[in-house]
Amino acid sequence: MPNEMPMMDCEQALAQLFDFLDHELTPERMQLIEQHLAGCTCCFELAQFEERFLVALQGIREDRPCPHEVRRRVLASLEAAGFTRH
Amino acid sequence: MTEGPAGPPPQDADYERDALPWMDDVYRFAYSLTRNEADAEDLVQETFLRAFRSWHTFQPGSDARRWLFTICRNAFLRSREKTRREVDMDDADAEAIATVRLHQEMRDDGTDRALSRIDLAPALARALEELPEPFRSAVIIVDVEDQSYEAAAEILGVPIGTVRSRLFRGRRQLQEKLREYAHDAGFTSAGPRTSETTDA
Repeated sequence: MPNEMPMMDCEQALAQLFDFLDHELTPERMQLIEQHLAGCTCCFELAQFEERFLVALQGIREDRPCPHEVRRRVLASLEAAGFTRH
Repeated sequence: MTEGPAGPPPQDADYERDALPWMDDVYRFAYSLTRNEADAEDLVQETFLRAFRSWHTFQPGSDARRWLFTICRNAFLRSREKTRREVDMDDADAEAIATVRLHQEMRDDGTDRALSRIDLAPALARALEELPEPFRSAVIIVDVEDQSYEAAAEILGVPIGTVRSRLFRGRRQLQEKLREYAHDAGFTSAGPRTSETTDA
């Protein structure tokens, strides 16, 4: 059966779970892990937990724009170094 | 002296167009590294000055934000005199498996369910502040600033494998902190002992 992809076991899937959730795997590997998660309740629950965790982590990104005074200082130092603004 | 054409030199116009718009992002990144407004301000200024002086090395059309983050991170390390190479002994796959074991423990003591019902942001933000380097930078760059492993490797100046191991270990340490938080707050069955608790 030359076109059949090998099934993945739990250890293999979990070793790459973060890579999977970060979309850092090849399409073939992503599919293998998706197939495993679709058929394994235990691994699926862990994947759900980790996904919630990563979403929460991304959510703590602060809305912290550069203060005007800092921006002014940066531009002044650039101009002193020879930068010419448009 | 011969007058040039009106307007700034082309490279300055390119710098203004491609680098300066990222000042908010660089400031946020600098603050996440330094956790101090004064140091973040100095770091931002140094970053943009260094970027301007080495603008001729920037590949037009490439990721300016990533390039600026790299400069910022290197400047941060220099300011902390951490120029020695950080040796990573950990295996990323082993860290992933250790995280699995941690999750199993959290499922057994109810932490998993407890954490699904509360807002994790405040506890996570505190835990991230306390996370030591080099794990904190890896988590900030990939998880908070949403960069790829490849981008993080370039910013940190390490192989992708090192990014993975630092990142996975950082995440595991954050989850351990969340578990402690859930226990301390009494959210789980393994919370603080009370007078009603009887020994088995």
